[in-house]
Amino acid sequence: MTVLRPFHLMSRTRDLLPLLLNLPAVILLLAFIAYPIGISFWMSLHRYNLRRPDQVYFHGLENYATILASSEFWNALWISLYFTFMAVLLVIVIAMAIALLLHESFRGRGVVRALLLIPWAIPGVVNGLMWVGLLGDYGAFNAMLEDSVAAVNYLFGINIVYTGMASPFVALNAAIGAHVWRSVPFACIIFLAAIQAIPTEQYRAARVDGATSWNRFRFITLPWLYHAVLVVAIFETMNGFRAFDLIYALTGGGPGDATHVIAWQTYKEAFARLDFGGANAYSYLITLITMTLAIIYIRLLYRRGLVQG
Amino acid sequence: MWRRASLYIYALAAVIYLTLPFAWVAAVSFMPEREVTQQRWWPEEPTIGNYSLYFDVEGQSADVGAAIARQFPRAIINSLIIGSAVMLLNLTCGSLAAYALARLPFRGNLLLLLFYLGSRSVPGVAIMIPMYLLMRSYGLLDTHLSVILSHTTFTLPFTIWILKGYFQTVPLDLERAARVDGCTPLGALVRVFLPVTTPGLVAVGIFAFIASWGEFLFALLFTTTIASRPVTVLASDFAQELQVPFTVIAAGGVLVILLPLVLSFLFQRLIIQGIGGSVTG
Amino acid sequence: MARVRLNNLTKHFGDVVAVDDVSLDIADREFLTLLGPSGCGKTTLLNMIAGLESPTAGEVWFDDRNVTAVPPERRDIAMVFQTYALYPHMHVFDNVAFGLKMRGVPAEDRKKLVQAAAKTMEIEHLLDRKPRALSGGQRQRVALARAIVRNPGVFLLDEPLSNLDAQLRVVMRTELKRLHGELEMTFVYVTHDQAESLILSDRIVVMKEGTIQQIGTPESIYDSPANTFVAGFVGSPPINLLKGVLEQTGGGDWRVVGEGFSCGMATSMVERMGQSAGREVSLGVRAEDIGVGEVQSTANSDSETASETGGQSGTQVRSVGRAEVVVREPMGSDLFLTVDVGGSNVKVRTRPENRMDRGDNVELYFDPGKIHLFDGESGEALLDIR
Ligand SMILES: Nc1ncnc2c1ncn2[C@@H]1O[C@H](COP(=O)(O)OP(=O)(O)OP(=O)(O)O)[C@@H](O)[C@H]1O
Ligand SMILES: [Mg+2]
Repeated sequence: MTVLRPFHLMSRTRDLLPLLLNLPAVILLLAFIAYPIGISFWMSLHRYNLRRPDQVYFHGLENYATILASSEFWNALWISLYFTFMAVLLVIVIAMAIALLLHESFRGRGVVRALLLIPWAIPGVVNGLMWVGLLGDYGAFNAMLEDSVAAVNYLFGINIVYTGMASPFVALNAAIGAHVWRSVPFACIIFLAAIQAIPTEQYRAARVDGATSWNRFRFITLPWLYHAVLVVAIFETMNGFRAFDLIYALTGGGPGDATHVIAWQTYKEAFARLDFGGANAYSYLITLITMTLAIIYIRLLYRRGLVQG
Repeated sequence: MWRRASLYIYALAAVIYLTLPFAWVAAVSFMPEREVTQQRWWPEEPTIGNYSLYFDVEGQSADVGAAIARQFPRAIINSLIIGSAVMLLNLTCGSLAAYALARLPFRGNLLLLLFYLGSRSVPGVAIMIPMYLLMRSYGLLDTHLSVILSHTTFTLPFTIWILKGYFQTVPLDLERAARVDGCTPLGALVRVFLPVTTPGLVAVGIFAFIASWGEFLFALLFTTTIASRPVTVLASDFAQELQVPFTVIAAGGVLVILLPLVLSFLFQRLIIQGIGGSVTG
Repeated sequence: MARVRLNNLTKHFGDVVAVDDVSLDIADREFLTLLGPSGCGKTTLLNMIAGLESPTAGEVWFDDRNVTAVPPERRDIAMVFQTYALYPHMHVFDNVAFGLKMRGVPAEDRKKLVQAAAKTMEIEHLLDRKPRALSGGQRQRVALARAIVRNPGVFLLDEPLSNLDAQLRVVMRTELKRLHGELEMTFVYVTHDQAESLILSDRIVVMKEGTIQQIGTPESIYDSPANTFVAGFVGSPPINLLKGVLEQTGGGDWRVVGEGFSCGMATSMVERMGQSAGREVSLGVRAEDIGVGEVQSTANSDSETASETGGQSGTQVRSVGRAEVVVREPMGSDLFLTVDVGGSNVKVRTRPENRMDRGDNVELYFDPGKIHLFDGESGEALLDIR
């Protein structure tokens, strides 16, 4: 049919407009994310130490071999995995608890809601500095921790020596705590929105069916929140692996290598040892790890039919 | 009754959790130095002395760290410039892309969406070296622009994601009505769609601004002098000076936090609704 | 003022054929209704008339102008959306004035025109409110005001009453009819409510799965449905359809015989259809064209003979069979009985004084002039009865 033709043309040009609208964003991201990632890979295949600028040459996967053989890498990877796992878990639990609270109606809810964003508004570095103070020798939390350790020692007749941030265990978990504290509000916002989207009839029906409040949470709230939990898990996994500014300000990677998360390790490799080749190999490994995790999550979302194009 | 009471205890616990760390730091910032060593929760003799260092424009003070503290106002201006530019770039590039994704069915939209999601999952440390070299080769080191560009790229995917969700909640019939009322496609966008989506745009704008204000890694790498250093980097510089009393650091921290805190209070409702609704929506 | 012509309009969404080769000629100032079940392509067709959706094939003409490629802002139309689509960020006044403003009408004229439209729709007291502060009915009036204020040639309405409660719907229905009388516009009205379409329209277009099933006045659609789909969709309660076979008795009389019933047909009618015995048909008869009576005390066969003799006199109607009352539904002015005829349910409308109840056996009478016959397979009407 001849009448068909103009519309075919129109639909061609119609595809052009949305691409055009995406162009600025795509250019920016290509230039400052995709291109650097490519370069990063290329550099990771080179020997490239700023201390020896005359000795830049291609040496294949050697950087990767060196890294995979180094205990530093595996140490950093385990610390990051522990850090991320704990952070994701704690953020989900705490944010969920606060979101459920904010969903209840009580006098003063507005106040709690207004205070919710405080941790989020605080820059990571400043958050680190804050916790340095809180957990430092004169810090309020340090005092509380000291007192509680003393109490435990007394109660159980044991003798745990509390050394504050000098203890690797305390330092790593304190870093996790500080990271979680700052991450809770964002997750909470997402959970709150998801909870509010649950139709109230569902609860009424469950109540009529005689479900206890725990069962209502278990069989209505949680399934409805599945998507939100996954989204938060994605965000927090990525955030956990890239935690840098907090570590920079709070522990500086220490004590020893207790808080050498992988982002910190990469930073050290690049700007302390000036080994750009090795650092890029590091960063490439981080990218691969987070991408893999992201793909797993996204596939989970797809399986549930929750992401649409 | 029991339920009420336990609800309030629960709420109180949440409030304490959310505010206590910051409240203590804020309290410390008003303490004279010696009170901190007594592990106080509240300043006995409140002072604003810790803040005076930061507003010592004439450069009178010879206290430790005064040289850096004096740069604070300038650093705040840098942060403002960077944050505002990041916000504007996010809003323009982000809303264009999100509009196309939300409204115009086209081949390749899923691919783009995955591209944005993928960009978002690239960690900053992974691209810091090439970015650094890139900025150096363009002579952009120690300029606002280098920081603006890097901040924009890592906030933009999120902005697009959120705005796409937000735009999809606006009924298509509104724009159709505008077309029937005589608007061109662009007219419908400007006169109807944008005003209706203002809350969402404000929310992501503030979000991008606060994210940029708080970003540290790229700001640290790309800036070397006060010509471009934003306030987060300055704060960490300052804290690394030995001998600076924590009370003064705390005051600096409070100054850094002030603006994002005020913004988040002012736009609290919009942020919670705008961001939450469209992430899960 | 405009005549609207659609030539072979087709719209595909990927694999979905939303509108399939639709041709229509809508007269100037006509009130035309697009009627059909959900998803049959009514909105898509309306959107193509508006220019909001470009057809995959076919043309749209307004008077002597081919507007197929003309964008909506340059067609002389106004539209009321199912969701009203009031601009939430504007006051009611600005909502109504927006179209005028976009077309460059000066401010003073705008004001006058908005006032006039507000007066017509009785929303003068709402002009400085925001849409979210309005009730459903008020929003609907604002949406109508926004559409009529520009005095367009073609007025498109997409299920404008479907979001209103039943009472308000009746009020607004009357309002729309009044509006059409006052305004010199062509109305194209989309609905899935057959009662609405019967009351409002000059002509009805019944659609199903993107194709036109029948075009006609409300009377002709109701009285001579083109197929079982139209017969079943228009009219409430839906028409009763009974499967049967066309047979000729020894005396040369024609009748439709099915499970539990046997309905005589006028010979002339069957002859006009040119049908042969043994053909499978669907017999359609509306609830109001069925009568029920007490079962005669005589035996079944006797009663039939009696009716047949009565039938020859030309005034008395023969029973088509016996049925058992299953449900009794009093509706105020009418009483509806559902009766079981050989395993099929048949709805009957009778007078409320009728005392028949569940379990009673009744004699059924079909008004022979109001019977519809459809092909047993295709469902197409075998004959226009008048
Ligand atoms: N934008 C679209 N993309 C894909 N399919 C569509 C689109 N719009 C409509 N359709 C499909 O076209 C068909 C007709 O849709 P349309 O909205 O015209 O129906 P309708 O008669 O108005 O129904 P309703 O009474 O429910 O409003 C449906 O099957 C619908 O799913
Ligand atoms: Mg429709």
